[in-house]
Amino acid sequence: MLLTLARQSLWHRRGTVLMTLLSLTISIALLLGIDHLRLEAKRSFTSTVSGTDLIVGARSGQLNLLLYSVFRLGNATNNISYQHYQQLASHPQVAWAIPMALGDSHRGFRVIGTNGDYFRYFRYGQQQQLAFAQGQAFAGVYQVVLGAAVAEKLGYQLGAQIILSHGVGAVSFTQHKDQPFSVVGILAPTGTPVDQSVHVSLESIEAIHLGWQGGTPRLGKTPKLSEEQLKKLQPKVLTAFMLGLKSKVATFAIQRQINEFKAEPLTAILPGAALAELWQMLAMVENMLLLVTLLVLIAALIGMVTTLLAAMKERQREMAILRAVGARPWQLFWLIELEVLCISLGSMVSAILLLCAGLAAARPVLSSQYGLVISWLPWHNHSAILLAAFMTLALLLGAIPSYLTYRQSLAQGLQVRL
Amino acid sequence: MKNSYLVLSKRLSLAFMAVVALLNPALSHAEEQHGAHQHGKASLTFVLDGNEAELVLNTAAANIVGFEHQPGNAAEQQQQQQQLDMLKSGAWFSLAAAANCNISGQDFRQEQGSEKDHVDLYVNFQILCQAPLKLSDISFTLFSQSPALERITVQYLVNGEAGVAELSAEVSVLKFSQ
Repeated sequence: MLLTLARQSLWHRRGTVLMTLLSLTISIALLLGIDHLRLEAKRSFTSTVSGTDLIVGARSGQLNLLLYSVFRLGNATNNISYQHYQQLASHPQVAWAIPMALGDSHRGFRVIGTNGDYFRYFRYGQQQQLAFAQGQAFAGVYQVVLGAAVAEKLGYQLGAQIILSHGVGAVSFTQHKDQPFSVVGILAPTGTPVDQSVHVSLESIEAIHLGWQGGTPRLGKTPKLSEEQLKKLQPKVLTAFMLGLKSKVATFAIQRQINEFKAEPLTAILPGAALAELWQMLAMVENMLLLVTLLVLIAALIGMVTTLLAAMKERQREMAILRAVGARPWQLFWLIELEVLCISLGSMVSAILLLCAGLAAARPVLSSQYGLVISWLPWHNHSAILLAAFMTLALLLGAIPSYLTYRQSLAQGLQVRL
Repeated sequence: MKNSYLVLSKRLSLAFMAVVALLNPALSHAEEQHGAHQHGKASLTFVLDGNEAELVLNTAAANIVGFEHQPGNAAEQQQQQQQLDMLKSGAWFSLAAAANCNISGQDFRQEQGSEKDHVDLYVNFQILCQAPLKLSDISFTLFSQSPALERITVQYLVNGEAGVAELSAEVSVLKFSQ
């Protein structure tokens, strides 16, 4: 009975109610959206490094090393020698090692020089191994394995010929034109930066830079290398490598040994600890963002109360008539509260729908531009608590016009004013 | 910020050393690296995997003993001995009782730093836990036992979760997110 009244009364004032609903919708979507993006970005980053115990690179800050080696963000400070990689990879506590040579690209996607161990040992998410959607790992020079997003975006199939470029920009003026690569494998999607990567062997990296001096190609054409020359190729430098250890308890001991490695200044980081440090640094920004969103939400709620208060004047007669036909004052109180409930519930539902649609639309861009794979469902364990808190706040603020209605309903309404 | 200055100055000094090394072939093998030796600060790592755990503290001796020079008199001698014994005994941290952990082994090392009069201490505890999943925190009393110590930077890896923390006299409990 009250509900029908509330609904019809709202429908009668649909213009202002719709605007209120819209502003609440936007602010709830903002709150849930920021919370969702924050958590999903963390999950996405964490799952990328889940299987790696240590990452080793030239001496630098741990965040820098983590970002360029795993997330392909930023650039390495220095290279490290292949010989030292081999030395550390044969450490008795090391179960596996994946070398990485970065610095080249293909149409904006980063190229990683590595070896077969990458496909064998790299783990992401819940200890998942890389899988091939088509083809297999590279077996020699001038062969390339593409990440899922690279193949999809550039429309490559097995057997396609591609040219790598020097440097990591989307447009490069130095291309390794004379040495085309053929696609021999395409990886299944992983939801990690692996999807955005182009994988070749370390020897291939060596081959395309053969004869280069100080980062510039030698004059004239570099012909495709002969079989003889290909066999002689030996990787000399790496950008970084990942280590898997036999026992996790040894992690810090190995890290210390690598950090104190005498022959070359190296830095070893625990990817999880480096990420934790990153979140700590971002925590303040996150909190500010949440605070701003919260304030926007409160502003929207106050806007709702204002509209309800403004409506009170024009509804005085309505209320008085309701009282005259037998409605009790507390019923009028709940009538207004029910209207508040309807508006907030409506805006919650439309906010979630809006957010789902927005996320679904933004997903392809986020995954191809930032390597972030975000779920389109903005729901977490604490989302219910957030929404319940919003509801309580809405009803509390809604109590102001409700109470005023309750007080004034009869006394003033039936007076005839001129 | 401080760290980046450190890295920068380290890089500059490395570059300087490289130049010196180039100019003087006899020096080219005298490569030397300087760890961070900071008074007031210590670093700690803790790892727990399965039943096994390891806790390592690395600190300038001055943080624990109060001074780094050779003890000059009997009182200093006694103070040094007392503080080092306390450090070695492991009576400066306690793991959450519910995890039922015991120290099963210990290592202690004293290292002369690259500059004279700087001594670094390493102490390493091997620990066995009966209920490792219940290890929710470690509390430290070291700050009251060694007043010269102000901060401990912590890196931990507990049941697969890695994290970083900073401890001080005010925040002396290391909590693990479970």
